Amino acid sequence: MKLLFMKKVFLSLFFLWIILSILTLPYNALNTVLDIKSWFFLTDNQKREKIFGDTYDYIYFINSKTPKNSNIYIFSKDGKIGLIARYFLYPRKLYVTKDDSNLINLLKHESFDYISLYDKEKIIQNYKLFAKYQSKTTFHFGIIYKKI
Amino acid sequence: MIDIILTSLAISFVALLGFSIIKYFSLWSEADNLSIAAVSYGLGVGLISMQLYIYSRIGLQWSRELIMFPWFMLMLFVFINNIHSLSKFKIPKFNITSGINLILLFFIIAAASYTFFEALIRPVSVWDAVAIWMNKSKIFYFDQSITTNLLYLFDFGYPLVVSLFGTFIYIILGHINDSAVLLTSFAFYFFTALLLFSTIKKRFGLTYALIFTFLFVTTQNFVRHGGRMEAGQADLPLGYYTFVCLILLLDYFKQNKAKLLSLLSIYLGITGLIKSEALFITIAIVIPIIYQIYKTKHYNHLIILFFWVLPIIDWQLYKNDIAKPPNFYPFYQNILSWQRVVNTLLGMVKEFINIKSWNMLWIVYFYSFLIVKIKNKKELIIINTIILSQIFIYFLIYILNSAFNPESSAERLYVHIAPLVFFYLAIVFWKLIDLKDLRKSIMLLFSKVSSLFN
Repeated sequence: MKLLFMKKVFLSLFFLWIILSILTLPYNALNTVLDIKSWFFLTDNQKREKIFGDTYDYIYFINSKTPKNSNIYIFSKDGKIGLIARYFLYPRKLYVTKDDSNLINLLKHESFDYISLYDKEKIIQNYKLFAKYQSKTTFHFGIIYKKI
Repeated sequence: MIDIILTSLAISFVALLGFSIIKYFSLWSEADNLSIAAVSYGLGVGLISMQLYIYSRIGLQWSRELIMFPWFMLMLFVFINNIHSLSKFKIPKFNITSGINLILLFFIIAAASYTFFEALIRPVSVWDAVAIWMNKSKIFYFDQSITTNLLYLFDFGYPLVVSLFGTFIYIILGHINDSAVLLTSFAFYFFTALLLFSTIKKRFGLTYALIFTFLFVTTQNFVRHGGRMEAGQADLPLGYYTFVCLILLLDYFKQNKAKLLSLLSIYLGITGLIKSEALFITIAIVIPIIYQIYKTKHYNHLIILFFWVLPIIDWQLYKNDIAKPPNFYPFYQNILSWQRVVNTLLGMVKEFINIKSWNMLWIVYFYSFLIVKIKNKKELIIINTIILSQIFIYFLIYILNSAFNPESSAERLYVHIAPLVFFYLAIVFWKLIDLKDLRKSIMLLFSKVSSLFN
């Protein structure tokens, strides 16, 4: 008797599963239509901006300002920048950090073609301000310094 | 558009390559064409990735011609040798005239269609794909070889099959297109569904197979990994390969054929090179094989099985030889505490009952333990052992290493074993429920649903 009841519960769960699956169809179809509407006509850059936000916009800015064989120091407190930079800036050699306190010491041993600071401004010996980025939608900014 | 067509052709070519090899060498002679087609994609992906890996190791150029030529020659050879038997080739036929089958087929096609479109409308966007899997594809394509000093830059030295297959797509395209490459994820979704369908259909019939395929293709987590947002990672491929290995394992238990074991051994080798976690899965599959060899006294099969471990050993030696792994672990505290055990358990259970991602899959699976006696049912014991051993391994990883937690990764880890759960439940339902009653009830349900739409 108990087993029969448990089997009935099992069957009910199975039917619930089928019903939920049927309900996901219009939900997903509608989402796809909305996705196509809001994504399809965007350029690749616009799509990436939509996915990664300002961060991508800034990386794209670095990409457009620096040659592929350059060696870049990137500072940002936002850890995501490192991941996105490594994906989009390759084959540039990158040194990505969340802590720029050792920059002066680092510059004694390492030579970077460019230094990029996100949301920070600094006077760096032997480097000149090369390009400035300002987000279109937020207060975030970035500065690229070039080796003199 | 041209990139999408070229990627689709590359995927079809890879599947055809796998199909030709399995058919020509009669590696899975008892299987129908549909099942062979479903596993073919995985064999093709593994072979192409291994080819790129070997080319890179011996310094051979990754040109389209050098990659495709050997496979074209092989396929031509197979074609010429089998030209007389092509007339015997059977294209699977299905009787889908009944209303319920038509409705289910329509639902399946609808779900697969939106997953396909979702794969195409966005470039790669999920963090792990950007940081690891597709990043390596892109870098290897730029460098035209496996860039050894980058192997540990992004992760713990993950194997390269998924990344190298992405590189192969870029080589075919002649440039990087990280939207089109996501079709490879859709292909894993499609071929997993096809294998589930063909295996269930062979055993239990068309309607039953369509029901479970429908449940699979509408599971939100598979929709996401197959196309929407989560595409481009290695979890769905690992789920596919685990499922292929299980199906071959169950057939090996019935047939004890050396050729089938060779095929299984190749798949185990590829599976072990999808993700680091895959090593535990392959071990869970290898143990029953050793038991079967011992039981049937086919000791020469042990030599065939040994091939499984060769590519995995080679990969471990290679990566340790060319780049010393950095020690990531000091960043994380590995303190085992009761609180951590409880939190892990809660996190894992929370994901099991996450209906939004899994629908009723895990709830029904765990509930089935209350009413199904798996004692003396070897097949069910094997499937459950693999599923539960993986859940236990993930639990151990979570409690022993604070670098991982269920909140951020259980959803992905369960993808590795979820196709097995679908197959397990298909068997269990069949044993428990009278199909005539089930068919009647489902027809009633569908007629009610269709009247709602009307």
